[in-house]
Amino acid sequence: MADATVGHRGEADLSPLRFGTILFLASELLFFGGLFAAYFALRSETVPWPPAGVELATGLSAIGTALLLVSSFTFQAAVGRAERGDLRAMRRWVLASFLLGAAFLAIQAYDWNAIAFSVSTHAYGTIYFAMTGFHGLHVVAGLALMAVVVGRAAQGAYRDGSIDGLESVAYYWHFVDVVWIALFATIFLLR
Amino acid sequence: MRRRASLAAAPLLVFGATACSGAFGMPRGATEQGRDVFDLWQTFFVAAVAVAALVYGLIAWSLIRYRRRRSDDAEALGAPFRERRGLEAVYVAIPLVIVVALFTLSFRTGQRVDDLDPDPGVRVHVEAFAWGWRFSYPDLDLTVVSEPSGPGVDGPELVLPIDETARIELVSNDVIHAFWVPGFLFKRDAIPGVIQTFDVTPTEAGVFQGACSEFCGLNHAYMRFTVRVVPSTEFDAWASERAGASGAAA
Amino acid sequence: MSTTVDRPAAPPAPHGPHEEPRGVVSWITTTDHKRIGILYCVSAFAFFLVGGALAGAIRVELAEPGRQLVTEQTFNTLFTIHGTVMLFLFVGGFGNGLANYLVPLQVGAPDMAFPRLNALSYWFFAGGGVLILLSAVAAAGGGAAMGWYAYPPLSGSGFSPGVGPDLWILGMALVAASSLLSGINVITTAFLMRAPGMTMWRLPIFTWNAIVTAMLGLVAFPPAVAAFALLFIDRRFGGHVFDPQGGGDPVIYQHLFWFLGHPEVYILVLPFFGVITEVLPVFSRKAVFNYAGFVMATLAIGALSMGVWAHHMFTTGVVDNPFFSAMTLLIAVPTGIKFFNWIGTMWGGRIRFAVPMLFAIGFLLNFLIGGVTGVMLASAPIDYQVSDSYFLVAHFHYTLMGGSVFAIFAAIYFWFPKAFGTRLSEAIGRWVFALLFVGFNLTFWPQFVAGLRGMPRRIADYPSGLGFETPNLLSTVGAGVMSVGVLLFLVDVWTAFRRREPAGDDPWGGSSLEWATTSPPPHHNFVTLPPIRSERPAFDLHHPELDPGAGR
Ligand code: HEA
Ligand code: HEA
Ligand code: CUA
Ligand SMILES: [Cu+2]
Repeated sequence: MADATVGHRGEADLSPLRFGTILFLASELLFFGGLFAAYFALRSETVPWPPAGVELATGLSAIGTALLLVSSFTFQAAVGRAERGDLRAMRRWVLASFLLGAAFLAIQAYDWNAIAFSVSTHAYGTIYFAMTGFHGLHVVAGLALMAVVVGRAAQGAYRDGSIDGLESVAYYWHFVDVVWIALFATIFLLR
Repeated sequence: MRRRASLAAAPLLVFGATACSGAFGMPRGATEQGRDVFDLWQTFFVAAVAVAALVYGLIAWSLIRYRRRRSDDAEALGAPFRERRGLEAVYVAIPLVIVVALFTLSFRTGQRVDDLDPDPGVRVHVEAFAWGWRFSYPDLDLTVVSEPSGPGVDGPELVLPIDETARIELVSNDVIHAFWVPGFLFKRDAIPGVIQTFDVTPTEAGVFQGACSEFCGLNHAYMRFTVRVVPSTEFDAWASERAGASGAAA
Repeated sequence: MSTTVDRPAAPPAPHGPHEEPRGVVSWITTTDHKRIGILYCVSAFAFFLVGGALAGAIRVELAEPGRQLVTEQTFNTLFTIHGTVMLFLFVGGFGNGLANYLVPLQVGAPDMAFPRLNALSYWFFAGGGVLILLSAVAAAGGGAAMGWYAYPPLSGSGFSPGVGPDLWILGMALVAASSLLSGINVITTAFLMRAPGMTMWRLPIFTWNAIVTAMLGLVAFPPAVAAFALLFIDRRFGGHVFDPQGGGDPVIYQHLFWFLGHPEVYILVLPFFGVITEVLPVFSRKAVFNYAGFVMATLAIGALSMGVWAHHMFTTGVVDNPFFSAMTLLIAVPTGIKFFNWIGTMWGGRIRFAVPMLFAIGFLLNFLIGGVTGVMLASAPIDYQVSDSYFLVAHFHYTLMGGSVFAIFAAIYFWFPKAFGTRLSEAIGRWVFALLFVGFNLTFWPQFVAGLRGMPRRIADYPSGLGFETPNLLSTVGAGVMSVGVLLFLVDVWTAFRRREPAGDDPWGGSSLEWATTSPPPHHNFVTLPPIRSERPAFDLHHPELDPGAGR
């Protein structure tokens, strides 16, 4: 991730990496925005919604939601530790976030298996699997990034206090979290 | 350099030449709705020509007047003409006024074209399919269908009485098609899952070409039909002669 | 202030191009923004030749009624791939290439903010391009033949079972990813990597336009990627989002697609508005007229273009036509500001008709016709008639070919000396211009006429006796004339590399920073940077007798 040209800084002293990450996440937001738009369009046209026979495991997903939410805080704790130079604690907190994220994924996998409809049952099934699936892929990518962070920390990165990379991963992870909360609210609560 | 100026003016002249006929290339619209669109088209066209004439004129003038002359010093710079707030306001305001006016006219015409008559004279159910048309008249128990289409096949004929509002219900059950009658200045997409309703009120007798205008696969090019507009007595005669004879081609 | 500013960060640059690594491998592994820019532009131009060859086949087939060359199935693949290649691989790729090459130079940076990401985005682009071409040929069960916007249900597995559409979708996704990454790079570079003194309000207009283009890409591509993803799931995993039989709705795809598709057309023109705004002042020997107006107009076009997408759906009968019509018409105002600013820029100048200037003038003349016909299409009732007819085909070729592509030629003739240190020929260039200008208008003017006479687009054949024959024949002849122009241009490039006539650092009397370094620029762009005290630093450098900032 140390792929930034060193150059002149403009008036604002925002690091290119973090700035670029924000731009990236803005576009990610619109990707999910497209999926949400499709969801709401289908929802407004289909009676009943969700179609008859759709049973959602709302309770289980709520637990997943809680895990993911907590993982955002644990990751922010990791950033806080890194800022203070305590890299050992930082790694522990990243590990905690990793495990929480993995637990979330496990719940998702269980849900996918247990659920009574499939991607090809009806349009609802397609959009359900598409939204949770693309979100799940983002969680997987987040876990991979965490592994990278831990690996780089082991190689001595972040020691000089330049933790732009870590912070960018944090932005990403919070983003994944927020998207899930919106998804959960849309699919499970609002229905 | 003169040559280049006339080059600039050439498209303008073509515009002017087409303008003489008054229709500017557009069919005049053989329905009430189409006639309305035609009038709107004339207005838009005149506005476009006016804008183009002004802009081309200014471009031609700058190119001729401010070209570098042989006598000029090769290093000479242009005049320091970089900002004129008042002028800028003018060329924001004028186009704004033009587009607001155009929008207002277009909006009104749009409303009239999209308007549905509460009591249409004849109803036609049009089904577009790959690659042909099925025209049925629910009140008359009468259906006209395409033969399999292909190069040189004319397609089925939709018969409508003159001066009566025809309510068309347009559907498709496979892919998206579009029902287009250029002489009526109208088209509408046939989208699976959507029932489209619109009115046409033919005002001229005659035969009009129709075509599918939304790409729908292999034989899209051959998905044609014709519309025959006839006096209502003739329409009634045609209808009673054909009643019940569903499925036969035109 | 001293006359030069030392560069604190850049490593001591090896001077001159000759010390740079050579050979194919060095190009493949490069992360230098200039080389990546050139790779983009050269690949894009190659795609232009491919897209042009496909267009040639289309024109031969349509020269007269009856079958000339290809079957219906092949014809449908021809226009699908022609449209996709020209929009996303040629004009889009070239715009990206110019932004890559020019933005770091124009802001006075040694490279892009993320050089390796930049290389990655090029390779995504190239890979996506290859997949899109493969979707035409290497596909079992027929190539992609669903039109460049791939509407379902036609593009669904039921009606297009082959792998062609799948390859097309994957290719488009890669191109979209490439566009996102390079957009992030351009914005970050322009915001955070500017040289001291290069404030936002001194950025060259090209860079401004590149920023807005990148922003449009960031906003518009992702929903389209979502649409492509859902389409892919429908096709390959039995999904039903766009399938009316399974409770889905194909119109949702249209919304998601045009939410990209419309901004895309501005993505394909804003960089070239920028090019024109660089070329006109230089050859008028003036500063840009109404700099702030240019910036505001670009921002306004960018903002408005987010709210007009459904003007491509007037004839679906399921959208709010008046709203989208009004938003669309409004875009005429900021575009008009640009036109009048361009005229103001030439006004009072000392205009030299060098080849880049000729192409810029060609752009103005052609694009205006594309613009005013766009205004006609923006009226929903008029669109009921001209939508999906050859009138529409003519409209967008006037904006894209007559506009963007003419600006691309202007850009090539303008920056070629900078990029390669050698000049293209003025004499040949004039012929290239004349052939393209005449050929272009001969090809596409008759298409307005054919469209008004009722000729639908995307037809492999047309009946005789409806007045379509003459316009189509003229159109085919015009395409032939353009082909000669394009071939002559290739000759020009070939001879320019053989002659190697040294271009000089600033052959045209340029304004922006790229004209203040060598041709080609050294590895990290500048050995020394001139002071930047106005939006024309190179001009100030070469005209010390004029007090910089005088006109402000
Ligand atoms: C570079 C590409 C480009 C550009 C810049 C534009 C610019 C515009 N386009 Fe175009 N358009 C396309 C490429 C482009 N278009 C393509 C590719 C399609 C078809 C896709 C497909 O179906 O395959 C399309 C289709 C298209 C449609 C859909 C038609 C249909 O499918 O039925 C419409 C409808 O509103 C439209 C309108 C406009 C308008 C109003 C502008 C405006 O931005 C133009 C503004 C410019 C001017 C007006 C000229 C300068 C202004 C002045 C001098 C000021 C004074 C002028 C007035 C007051 C009038 N375009
Ligand atoms: C930037 C965009 C762009 C550009 C530049 C062009 C350029 C051209 N286009 Fe294209 N066109 C589109 C974008 C573009 N087009 C789009 C989006 C569509 C809609 C597709 C769809 O419906 O899905 C379309 C559709 C389209 C059609 C309608 C097809 C149909 O609806 O059935 C036609 C018909 O004449 C056409 C013609 C041409 C011609 C003659 C050129 C000429 O200007 C081309 C000039 C270039 C050359 C003449 C190059 C010649 C090359 C050589 C001489 C070398 C060849 C050698 C090798 C390959 C080795 N185009
Ligand atoms: Cu049916 Cu095209
Ligand atoms: Cu558009």
